[in-house]
Amino acid sequence: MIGRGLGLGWLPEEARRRREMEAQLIDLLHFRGFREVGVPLLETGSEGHGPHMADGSGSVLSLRSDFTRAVSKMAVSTLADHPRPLQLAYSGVVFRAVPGLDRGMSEIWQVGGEVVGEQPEADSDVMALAVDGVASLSCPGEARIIIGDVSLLRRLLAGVGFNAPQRRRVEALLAEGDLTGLEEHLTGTVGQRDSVRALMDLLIFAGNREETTRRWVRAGGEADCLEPMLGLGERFEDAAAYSLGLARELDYYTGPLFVVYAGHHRVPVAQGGRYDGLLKTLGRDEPATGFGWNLDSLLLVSRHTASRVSVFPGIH
Amino acid sequence: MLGQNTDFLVVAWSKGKLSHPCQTILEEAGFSIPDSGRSLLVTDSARRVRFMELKAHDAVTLVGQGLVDLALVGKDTLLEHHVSVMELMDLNIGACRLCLAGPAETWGPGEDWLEKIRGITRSRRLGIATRYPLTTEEFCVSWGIESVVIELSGSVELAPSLGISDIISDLVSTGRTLRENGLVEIKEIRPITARLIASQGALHLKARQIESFVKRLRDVISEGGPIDEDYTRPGFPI
Repeated sequence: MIGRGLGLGWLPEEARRRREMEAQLIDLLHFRGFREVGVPLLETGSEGHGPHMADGSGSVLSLRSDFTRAVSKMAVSTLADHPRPLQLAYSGVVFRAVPGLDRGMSEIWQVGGEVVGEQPEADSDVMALAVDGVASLSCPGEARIIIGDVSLLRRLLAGVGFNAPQRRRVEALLAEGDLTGLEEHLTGTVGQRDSVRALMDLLIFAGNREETTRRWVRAGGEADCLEPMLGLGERFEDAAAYSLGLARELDYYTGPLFVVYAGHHRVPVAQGGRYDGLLKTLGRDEPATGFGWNLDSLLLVSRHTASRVSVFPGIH
Repeated sequence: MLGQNTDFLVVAWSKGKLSHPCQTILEEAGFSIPDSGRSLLVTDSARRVRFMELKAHDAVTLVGQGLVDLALVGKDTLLEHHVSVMELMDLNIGACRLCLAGPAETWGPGEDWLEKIRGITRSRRLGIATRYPLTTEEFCVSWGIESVVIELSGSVELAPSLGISDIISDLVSTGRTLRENGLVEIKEIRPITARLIASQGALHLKARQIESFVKRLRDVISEGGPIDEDYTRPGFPI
């Protein structure tokens, strides 16, 4: 996740460009029927992933680490009586703890949207919106989308004998990017070398529908189960690929997940997914999906394009 | 620019002690790495890979930013710099240990290391000089050791004799440097080897190329020889 260390600030040109991008993306969200909300920067309790602190009475506060949770809280409380589906947009910073970074924290500017309540095609529409936003900013090259589905991953792992804690461990290792640890965990759980290899070949891979299906079946999955996920990518044609290993550090996702890249840049500029379980934990059981653009990543991508200054001479 | 080139994989290896074993394993995997004099980049046109030698920290940072696709770096660097990268495999080269070590006259053989440290920390914090402050602090927290970790960028072995710290935390392979500086190993913090890392974006956008690259290295490590497979097919999606 690209962000910036605390205290770095925004230089004039960056600030101008960020403001332009933010305005353009908010306009696009409005055009697609989203209404902007503001959510608190400080949250009570310690469940967030952001840095914690205490107020004068000793109560725990945390800096906002995630818009989805904050917007969901608003949806189940203040907006509980509003008609569904709710389409809510947001813009602002989130803070994530990053142990190796100076001052241990990263600040990320996000613009995004959440859809709360039943809405046909919501997953597909949210993906299209994320891709269209990148295209609207004139980022270099065609936007590309990688689609996964955490519910399929869970079903597959349950089918080959993983219990719930073992499945959670797989997701955590995938989200951390620790594939060496993942292979060790699979070996310790599954045992047979061929089965471990088939799972690793599936989880590390991102590719087209045929290759993804082949690997899915080889790992023990039923081909029919993949159709809904593969259908989500059809509208993007060759700009879509699939990865069953797509996982997040945030544990509330329950269905399709996605990541968007701008052209050939290997930095994600948007990501999102379905999180049907989150609102239930907040007191109201209803489906939800959403996504966020990362303005730091979008700035990085556009800066590389605009300046054409090579880090390594002779390579363009 | 480099990060936008889709046809070539961009691969970095670490400068320093890992440089030679990294180049060796890459050559055993069938890649051509000609001596390029002072050039920072070498290209294997047949395999469509560009290689470069970078400081380990820089390699991890550039992979994290998606500007370099793959890097061969020590686990010690990954532990110390929590950059978001995908750790693909243990290369089983550059094996060493991150250890606590102290002056031989104070830390005799056969003593209970933790009991001895607790003896010191009853009256004050234990001073530990290291190039690996995060990993060392995590180790101290996990063992309940009250410590002051002093970050140095080199010559860590001198710290106890200069009165900078009680002990050190550093990489040990043969133990010769420790012995020559009057130090003995107290406790292993964790074993270290070189790892192959990738940016998540590269893994998504260049899956086939990376998979073939990994398979070549895996075959060298597990079976002693490179594979013969079409490696040159770029493209998205696979």
